Amino acid sequence: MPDNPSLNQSLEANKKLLKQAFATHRGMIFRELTIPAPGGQTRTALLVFAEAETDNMRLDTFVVRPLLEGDSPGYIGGSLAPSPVPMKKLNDAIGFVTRGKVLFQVEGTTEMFAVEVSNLPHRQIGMPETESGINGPKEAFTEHLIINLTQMRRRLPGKFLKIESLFIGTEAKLEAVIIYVEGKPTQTMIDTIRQRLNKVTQDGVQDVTELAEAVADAPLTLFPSIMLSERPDLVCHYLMGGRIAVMVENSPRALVVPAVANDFFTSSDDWYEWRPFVAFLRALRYLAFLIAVPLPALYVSVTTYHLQALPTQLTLSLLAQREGAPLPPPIEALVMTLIFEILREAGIRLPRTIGPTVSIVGGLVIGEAAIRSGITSPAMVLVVSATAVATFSLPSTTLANAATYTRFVVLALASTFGFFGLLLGYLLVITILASTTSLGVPYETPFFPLRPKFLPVSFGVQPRPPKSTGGTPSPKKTNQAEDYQEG
Amino acid sequence: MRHSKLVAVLLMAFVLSGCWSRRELTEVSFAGIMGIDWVDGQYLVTINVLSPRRGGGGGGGSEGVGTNVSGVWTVSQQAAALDEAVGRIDQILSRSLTLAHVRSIIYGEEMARHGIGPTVDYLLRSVEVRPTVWMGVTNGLARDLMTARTRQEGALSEGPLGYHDAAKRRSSVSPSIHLAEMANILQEEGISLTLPVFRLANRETPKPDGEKSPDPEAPKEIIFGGSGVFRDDKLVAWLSPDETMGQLWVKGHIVHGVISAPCKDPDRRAVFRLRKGKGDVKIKLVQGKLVGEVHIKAIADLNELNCREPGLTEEGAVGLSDLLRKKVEQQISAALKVAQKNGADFLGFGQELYRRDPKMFRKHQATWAKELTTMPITIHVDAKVPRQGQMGPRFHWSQTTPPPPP
Repeated sequence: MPDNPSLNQSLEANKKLLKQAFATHRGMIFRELTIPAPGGQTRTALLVFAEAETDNMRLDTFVVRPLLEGDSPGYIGGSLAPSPVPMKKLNDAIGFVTRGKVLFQVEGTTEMFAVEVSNLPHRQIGMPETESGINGPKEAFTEHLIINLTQMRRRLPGKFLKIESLFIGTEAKLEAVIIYVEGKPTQTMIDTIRQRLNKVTQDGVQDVTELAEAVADAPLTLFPSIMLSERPDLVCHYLMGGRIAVMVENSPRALVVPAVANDFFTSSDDWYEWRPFVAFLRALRYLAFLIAVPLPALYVSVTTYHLQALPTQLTLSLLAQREGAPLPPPIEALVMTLIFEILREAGIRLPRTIGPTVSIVGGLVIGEAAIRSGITSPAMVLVVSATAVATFSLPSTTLANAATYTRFVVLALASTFGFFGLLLGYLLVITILASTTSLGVPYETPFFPLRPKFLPVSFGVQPRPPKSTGGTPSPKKTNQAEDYQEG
Repeated sequence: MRHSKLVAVLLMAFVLSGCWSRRELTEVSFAGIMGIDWVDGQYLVTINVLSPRRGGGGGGGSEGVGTNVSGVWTVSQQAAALDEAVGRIDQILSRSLTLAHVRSIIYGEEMARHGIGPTVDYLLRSVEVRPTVWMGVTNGLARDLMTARTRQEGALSEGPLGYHDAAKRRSSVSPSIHLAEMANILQEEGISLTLPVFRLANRETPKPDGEKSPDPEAPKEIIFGGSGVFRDDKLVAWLSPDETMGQLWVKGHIVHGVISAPCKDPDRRAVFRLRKGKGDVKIKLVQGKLVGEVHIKAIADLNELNCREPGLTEEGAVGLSDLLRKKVEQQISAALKVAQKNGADFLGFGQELYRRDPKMFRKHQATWAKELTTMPITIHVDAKVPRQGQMGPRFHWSQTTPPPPP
């Protein structure tokens, strides 16, 4: 038997094929109906559907009753409300049945049709959990692709929202969609995304994040070059700014490319806040990042190598605290930072009722006890806490993760080489940032390469243009960086 | 090429610094103040080693968290060279000494009279001593000043530093000068150095029999004010706080402070708070002779007026500014007198001449100190008292002479 045999056969042959294919499938129903045929005769119709995924009412209304009432199988467009789709290949048919469609064939024909009667269980639209904000819409994506697309269409009505569908995977093909606004991203970008998705060979993609490596310019980058969002309103904002979104079925998030560094300092509320205040918040987040990465390293450098760098009062205050501390600063910093990471890891997955307990035990009890027993100095605890708070203030968790492992690298360098090591760490980070691209757009756009036009927008200070001047698509540009627009 | 760059970076990493050159906070003694004396033909170096309060912070208990300086340990060593003396102090201390946090360096009188040039050489060569260290001079041994117990601070660890800053902010009774500025002045043509003065005075405590006499055991006062005048690198004279103000007027360094001018009745005063002072020195050639001019602009507010004299009321700003003008003129001429008497050109007439006409300055350079002593100098003061400081209804009183005692 060929891998993917044709279904253009007689009813009996198809039935046999499907029986074989579903031999070990629980809950597949093969039902034969005797339906009237022209000339007062009767003939058999075969219905194949999955018990759990099918809505019995719809099955009855749209398929069984019309067939029993004598509609011929050539009635396409007749009383079967969801149009039947002719099935050519066995594998396609299997995919349709398992998604809740019903297959039917009438005796004497060689065509099998699929009709949408599914009733897939799915979650209702809920509140965004990882991107909660104070202002703006409160809807989040669900695991149901159709519902997700509905949410998008509702927000961007009109023909300019383009949704391309394709199936990824070799065996278990799952639907993925490429969403963009017509005329905003360049055709090259759209083609690149399509090519990259078509190359995905992984079967059974469960979440859009699994596609991140395939969609990114380089599979492993230190800093995130792909944005993920669970908020349809944000994705629509990004689409209007010329980005491309990718969604797959069963995933409650959309993947947005290209994404540059500045996007990861943007929070969902930035779109709905008073703009000057957004500029302040944005600057604050940049500052938080500058604290989150090098602070422990800076502390170690200053207390170990560069004793003259601090004011005398502060030096003496630090000295007073460090008197009798058993561990040298580099080890102390490493241990404390690690403990903090463990605490964070412990807190993330705990139920909400236990979470605060861990924070209290970890933060207060362990911290206080460590200081009292003289194992660590209050300054070190302060440094680690400030680092932690700065990390938490970053709006993107992927960016926070990047900050975490960069922090360890910089700490190691600073512990070994002092300020020189710190500088080396900075150079390393800047080099990595400068060499990262997202769909061909340099990661540090609009700062490097400088795009003065987008700078104010990046800091959220420029008021949004009041009205679009018309539907003229932007002219074709040569430089990929020019394609970047603030989301 | 790529590899060679990597190798270069790694090489730098290992050559520039590294684990072996680390000095941890707890392995270091921090010097706070440094005193330099000249005793028996040798340098006597005194260092106040700052130590944080024991038991604070990591040592145990949260009550010590964030405590600052309290204890100071003073160490002195004598040697033929400064670095040698510092090295001997380092040998005494359990932790290695660093001069990176020295905030003030004070010369003893003998040292200052002997010449401070060689010490500047050492201080500028040291990689640890900051160029922004405050400099000062005292009228005895710097060591005595540094071991003194004062009432305000636990010790002299932070005191002089506070005084230095206060000199600029608060009182204008003393110049304040950094090491780098001092080194510049010492090398510059036509200007002499002045350093702020710290004096140690025994506090007079009343004895049971009512007499007042110095008590050696009592806490001492450190009096800050006035300045030491140098010719080249040697101390030649002292300026009183009033004379110092005269100097600061001319240099334009008067910022804040209080100036007290006598009324016609010499026991009564008009007191002004300074708001702005501007000074300018000019030198001219009049009939083949060099003539100096000092131009001052002084603006002050009336703070206190305890005399009532005709033409001297709150409305009579003219009378008030006359008082201020006279006082400023008097301060400046007193400073000038010291400068001329000692041939120490700390007001910068020579510098002004050098800037105007370097060739002419060269002609006079050799005999400048002598010429200064006879050079005619005129003082022009433009004084204003724009505010009399009365906000509410005026308070009336009349000046009467107290009745004679019965």
